[in-house]
Amino acid sequence: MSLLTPEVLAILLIDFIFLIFSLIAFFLSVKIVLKWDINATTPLQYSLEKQSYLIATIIKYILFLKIPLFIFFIFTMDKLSNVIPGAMCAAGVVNATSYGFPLLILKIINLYLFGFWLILHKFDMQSPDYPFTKTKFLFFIFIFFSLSAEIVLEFLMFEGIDPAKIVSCCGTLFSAAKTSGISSLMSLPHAPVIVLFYLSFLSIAVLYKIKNDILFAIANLWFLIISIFSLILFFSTYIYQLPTHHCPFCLLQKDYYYIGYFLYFFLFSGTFWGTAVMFSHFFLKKRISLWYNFSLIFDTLYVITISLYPIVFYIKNGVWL
Amino acid sequence: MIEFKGVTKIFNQKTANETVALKDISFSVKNGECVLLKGPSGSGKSTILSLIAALSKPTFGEVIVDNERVSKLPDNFAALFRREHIGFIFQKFNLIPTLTVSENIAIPLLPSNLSKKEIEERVKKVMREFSIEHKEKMEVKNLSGGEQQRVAIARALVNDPDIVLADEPTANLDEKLSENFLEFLKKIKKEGKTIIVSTHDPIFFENPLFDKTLEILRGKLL
Repeated sequence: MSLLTPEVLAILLIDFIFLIFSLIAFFLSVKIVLKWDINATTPLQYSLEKQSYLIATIIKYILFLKIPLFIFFIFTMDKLSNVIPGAMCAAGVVNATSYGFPLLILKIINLYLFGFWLILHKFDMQSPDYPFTKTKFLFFIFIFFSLSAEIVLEFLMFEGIDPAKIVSCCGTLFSAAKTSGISSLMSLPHAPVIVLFYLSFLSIAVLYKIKNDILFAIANLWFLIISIFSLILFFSTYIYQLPTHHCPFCLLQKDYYYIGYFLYFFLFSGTFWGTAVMFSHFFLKKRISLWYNFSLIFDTLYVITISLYPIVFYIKNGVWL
Repeated sequence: MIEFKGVTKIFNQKTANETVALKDISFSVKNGECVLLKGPSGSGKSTILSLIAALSKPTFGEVIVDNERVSKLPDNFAALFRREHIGFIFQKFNLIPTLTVSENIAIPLLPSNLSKKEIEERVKKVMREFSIEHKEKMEVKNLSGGEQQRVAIARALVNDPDIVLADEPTANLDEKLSENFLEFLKKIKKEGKTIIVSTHDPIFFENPLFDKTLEILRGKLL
């Protein structure tokens, strides 16, 4: 591995520790899924009940550390762009190997999955008869494989980055000139995507009033996807005030007042709570209004913040980009 | 009703220090009964009390209190169960020495949804009952043994529990204070509370106050 900076070493080390602990949690989860019988008063069942606390603690710690670690990962990607020829921001580093983008997407998915697991765990702890214990540990077994895939991809990505090899900068990656999935996105017309973005938000606001759990969760999931598309395609150009600059990573830099961290925090938080209402619907069979409120607040904050850029630009300059 | 069904408790299982505290114990205590649990030190008396209070779980078997399988309760529900049903008087009182008398007594009520005023009223009521209201603002470390015991009893009763468990309550007291404790037991028995006193103090033996005596030796009921 030729790119073993202190940050990369720290990430790999922490993920290795996560892997060891989650491996313990995985084996105990399998044991619980196979042997759990809440009515039994045997030593095995009492021991499983104790072990379920141990696993829950391990998973909680992994999640709470994964959130700052994810931010640190993005920060590291951005920092590595200084040593990789051609890279201007994290985008170049992420794209330096074929593992980068799948890894990034998997990291985000895993954060959501861990969050959903915690919700299920919270529901389980609300009843004295452990109603969702088997389900939550079965869910963790799935998360374990996803987490393992993430750690393997991460290792492969860092291992595959060649500091001597020139990579594409974000300006090239996120342009319509190239022939890739991203460039075909760049060639999409702006207006329909923007309309879809605001319609999606409107549908969330309407569903917030109607309080349909499943539709609200689907609308949030759709809003997450369309938000990232619209950010790359349209809003980013106003953040950079450059019609050709579409990078979703540069906005994490100091030059743009780290606005990306706030935007992504609003977007991920809003859509997380928005999709989480599905869990209360299926498992608790009841509606948690607080989650609806969280979702709407964060989604609204995202929409307001991101919309301010083109509006302010238009007020200042009298033209659209 | 308290029921033990084939309860075995092993500490440090599968280690060199493995200790079998209880062996296949079964008994029941009816509501409102006053039970004496006697036996020498290390016989398993405290283990029985901690299992009733859901402070620990059996290795095998089941403990049922008022139709609630307490041995199966998750920790957060066990804490709730203790708060609502159990008053525990410890051998060494387990008071917080740097807190005042009223602060120590109020502790079991803090997690409840009671208002500050309601908590104060309840604390004052039990302090009056046990004649310690004049020491309200004193730190418990400055109290005598007898006074500390009264604070410990007041704390055990402040949440108005159905079950009172006393673990060697007179071990640190002189004869007169031990007799006072018996008077206190008579009083709460009249209130219909279920009482279990674990002791090896002869002052309790053959006392008509107790409806039943359970004798335990090396983890087995005799």
